[in-house]
Amino acid sequence: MRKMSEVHEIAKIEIAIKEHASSLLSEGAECIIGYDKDGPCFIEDLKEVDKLVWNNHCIHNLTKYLPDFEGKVGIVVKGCDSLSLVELIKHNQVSRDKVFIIGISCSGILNEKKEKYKKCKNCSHPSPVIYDVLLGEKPVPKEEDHSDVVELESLPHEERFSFWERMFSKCIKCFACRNICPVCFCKECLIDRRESKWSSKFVSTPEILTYHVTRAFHVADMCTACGECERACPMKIPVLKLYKKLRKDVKELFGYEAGLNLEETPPLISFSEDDPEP
Amino acid sequence: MKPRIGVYICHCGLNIAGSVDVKLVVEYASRLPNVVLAKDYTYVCSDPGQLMIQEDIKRENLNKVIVAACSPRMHEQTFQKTLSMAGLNPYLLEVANIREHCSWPHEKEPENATEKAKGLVRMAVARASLLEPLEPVVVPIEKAALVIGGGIAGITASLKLADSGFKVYLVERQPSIGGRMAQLDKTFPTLDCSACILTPLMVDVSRHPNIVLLTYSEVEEVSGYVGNFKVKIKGKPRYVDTEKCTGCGTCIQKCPVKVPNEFDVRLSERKAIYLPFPQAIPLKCTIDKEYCLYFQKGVCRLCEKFCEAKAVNFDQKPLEMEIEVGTIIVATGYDPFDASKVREYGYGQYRNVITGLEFERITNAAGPTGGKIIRSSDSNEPKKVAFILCVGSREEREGGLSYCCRIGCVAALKHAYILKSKFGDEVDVFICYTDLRTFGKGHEEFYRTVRDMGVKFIHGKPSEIHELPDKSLVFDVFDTTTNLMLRVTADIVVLINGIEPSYGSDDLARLLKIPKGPEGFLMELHPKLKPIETAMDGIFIAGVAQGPKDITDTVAQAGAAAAAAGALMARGQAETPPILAVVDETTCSGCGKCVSVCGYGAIRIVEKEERGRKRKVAEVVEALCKGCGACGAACLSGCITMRHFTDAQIIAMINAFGLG
Amino acid sequence: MKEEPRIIGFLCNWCSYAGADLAGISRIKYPPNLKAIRVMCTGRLNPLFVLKSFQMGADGVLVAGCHPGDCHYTSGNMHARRRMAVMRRLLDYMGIDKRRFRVEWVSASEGTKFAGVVEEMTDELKKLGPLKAWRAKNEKNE
Repeated sequence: MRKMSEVHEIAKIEIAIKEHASSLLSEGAECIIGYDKDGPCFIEDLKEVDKLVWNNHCIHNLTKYLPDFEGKVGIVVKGCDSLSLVELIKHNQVSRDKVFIIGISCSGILNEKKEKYKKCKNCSHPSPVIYDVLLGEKPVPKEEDHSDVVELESLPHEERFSFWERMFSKCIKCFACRNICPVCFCKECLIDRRESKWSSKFVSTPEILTYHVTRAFHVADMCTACGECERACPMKIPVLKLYKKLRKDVKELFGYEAGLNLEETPPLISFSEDDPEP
Repeated sequence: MKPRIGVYICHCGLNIAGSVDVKLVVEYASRLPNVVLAKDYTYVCSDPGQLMIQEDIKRENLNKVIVAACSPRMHEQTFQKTLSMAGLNPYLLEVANIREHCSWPHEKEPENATEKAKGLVRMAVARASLLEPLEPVVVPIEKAALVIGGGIAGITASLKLADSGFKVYLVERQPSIGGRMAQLDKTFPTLDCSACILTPLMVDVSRHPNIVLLTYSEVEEVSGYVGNFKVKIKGKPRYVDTEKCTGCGTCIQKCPVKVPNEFDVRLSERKAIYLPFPQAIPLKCTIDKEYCLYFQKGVCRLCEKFCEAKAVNFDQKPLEMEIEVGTIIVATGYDPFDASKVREYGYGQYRNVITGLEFERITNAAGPTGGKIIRSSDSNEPKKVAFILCVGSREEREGGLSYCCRIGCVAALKHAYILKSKFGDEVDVFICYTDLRTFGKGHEEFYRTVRDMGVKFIHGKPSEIHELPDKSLVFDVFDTTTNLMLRVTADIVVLINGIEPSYGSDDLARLLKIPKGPEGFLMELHPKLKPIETAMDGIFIAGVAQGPKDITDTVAQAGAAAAAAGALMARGQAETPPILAVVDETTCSGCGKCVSVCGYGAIRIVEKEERGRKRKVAEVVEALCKGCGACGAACLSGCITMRHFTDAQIIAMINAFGLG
Repeated sequence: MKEEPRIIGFLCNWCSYAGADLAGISRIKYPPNLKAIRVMCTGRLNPLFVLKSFQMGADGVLVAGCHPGDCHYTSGNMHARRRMAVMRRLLDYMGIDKRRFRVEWVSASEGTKFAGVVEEMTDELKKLGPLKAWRAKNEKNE
């Protein structure tokens, strides 16, 4: 049972969202990206503002939709979503001055079974790092959990490969993980380019593995572990175990964490005189 | 168009054919996809070899050519020209390196060498199938040259270029040109007075209408490419207005500060305001800020007071210049090896142990002793002088130089000659040598002359020098010609120390992006055939900057560098290879990763309009693009194609690698 | 040569490729297990080329470039250093022992070093054995 104060808090936030949405639309904003009772919604008309909700089922990372808009947009972001937003701004996909960020501090989102999502259990950024308005009480951040990565790192190499082979044997190359990822913003994915022979259309294990290694390497210094990839996978493959390895290495090698700071240059497009040897 | 590939396997005499079974490779190549013709030949790079390729191209309608031979760094350009002459685009050539990377290192494993050669040819065929014709970018060449270093090499190159009608900027970091040759007394083996043969050339430089002389200046930044180098030069302030200074020297007389004189290897003193030597070009005074009382303590200013031309200017600022040149010649010379590193010889501790350069200054009439050969401890003429060769050179110990300095032996003979001609039998001269390398023209005769003068040659290297109470020196040396252990006492011991690339040549090489060899000297493109070219088109090297050599060879090499630079500039234009980046704008997301990694600012984000929407996309500035491919690898989407080194070509080679 | 380890070497034109040339010119003997692919700069190398190499049959991959600070194109190798560091760890995580993928800095004058690296890698790969995981079917050349 939720505490009365919690319910009260959630209701207050929902009201505040609707207020901000109304004033933004009145000022000429093109769209408000938020949540309705079913999931993501796009409000372009003042009359529809009431559809907007806020509750602890608002799991979707709405920043994925931002690059499509040209005009001014309002968007509801949780702590984890705000990290993706920082990366999108850094990479010229979103203009900071074209987005009004309604930041919500959240203490975890529940799935259909009313359990906290795995990623929310060890949330290191429950409060948005970038916002125009911040709603909600700030929870205490926790340490990011790398134990599943460390566990795999301790296995001998043949076992590591077997693990991944087994994991990705279920993959059907639906590309949901790529399509929902906010930092996969390429207009044409390398994997789809026929002429460069990087990949073929076969749904075979080597092809599947190529795709996943490619994506993992590509998002290495942009992945914020928002977890949408894992949530979207129809085959329930725990892909986050792969991306967290890259986050861990990027942190160890270059002291960098994606999504925290607009001013910090991503490590894979910069260098230092005393970088560690590969 | 379907590829029609011709494959040529070169024997290179026995260099390849001696270990690789070329017939088997030919047979293998003929069965590879798209290959319509496979042949072997003794020397494909020869005239008949190249003619054969041209005839085959025309007769068989070849549209791609593979030459399996020596390294592409050797002959890629040669074969590219062959293709051009047959009407085929030169970028449709692929070279497989089956010599430097195959037949030579695997000489003793002919079967493996042959298998490897087959694999390399297979990879080459895979790449060649995907090669595209490319047109070179033609750039105009600025008809001006930059010569860095005002020693005999720089002076020679400058004069030759200037005489050919080109503008030359000669940059020298010392206040005067002349370099090491200005410090010498006599030059071997003719025993000309060094200053007498050098000074007229220095004057020529100063007077030449085509030469802009920039002394007391350093190169700070170099950008651009062959034909279009932009160079930033900083002129250090002398605190003397060179337009007004007449070189009269009054200021020098009045200056109260005494400073060790580097020109005399610190055997004499100069003032804080000084002329480096009497024949300095330009003959303008310079204030050494580090010792000048005005700069250090805010007092004195006597030079300013007494200068009739009012040339002293303590407020002088550094002069920043930017010039555009078509070619650059690097002639930065050498520094003597620090003999104090060979601790057992006591240089720096014992006053009468001196280096060869110090001996030069002593014998020089304009030197610290007015030409009197005396020893520094008691100013007496020496009765015994010992020379030790190879001090620091050919050393295996850490801190020593591994190579031969090339000039030490004959320099020692020269010094011995001078001593004997001056003092005759009054002086005993010993030369302790490891080898006597007198290979040059006139050197062998010079050696015999010196030997006939009664100089004693000891074939051995002393282990340690000791000083006696009267500051004389004594050492033991084992002479292998007589099998005797000799004890030699000497009034002066002259260490013939080695030579190293000038300090700062490291940084200069980095600025110019030219490599250094293992010994630290600037690296030539090919040790036999391209001794003055470097890895950067349009940048040449000459003199000891490239490697130890005497004045004769330096002058020859400087002339060669001037000729090469002149030939380039005379052509008026240069072709830069069309190995460039190309952006597919339609799929570019404008993320800017490529811009972040480009080391040349050759790619930038611009705004384009597409179907009413504004988009940010990347755009390549072709004139600045060097084709390194950093952007190509940074683009996650694969929007950037690197011409002539495309992803598809590299992947094809990887695939082909795996097939065998 | 079926049982012998197969190594792909990505060498940069200005430094490591020239260093490999020098090894040959100096007639230094080293094992024939490495076949080189020349690129202008190690900065050109998409780290996925390394993955492709393992998939297409390589037991070991060498990436060799100019010493950091000496890149012919100022900074290409610095980017390669970072990229390859990440890729090496990623591939190791996915079952390709990091000893199979080496990044070395070889200048144009370091023929001996190049030969030494190839010798070392060949020995190490013989001990590790051929790579069984990650193999893909090889496309026929078209």
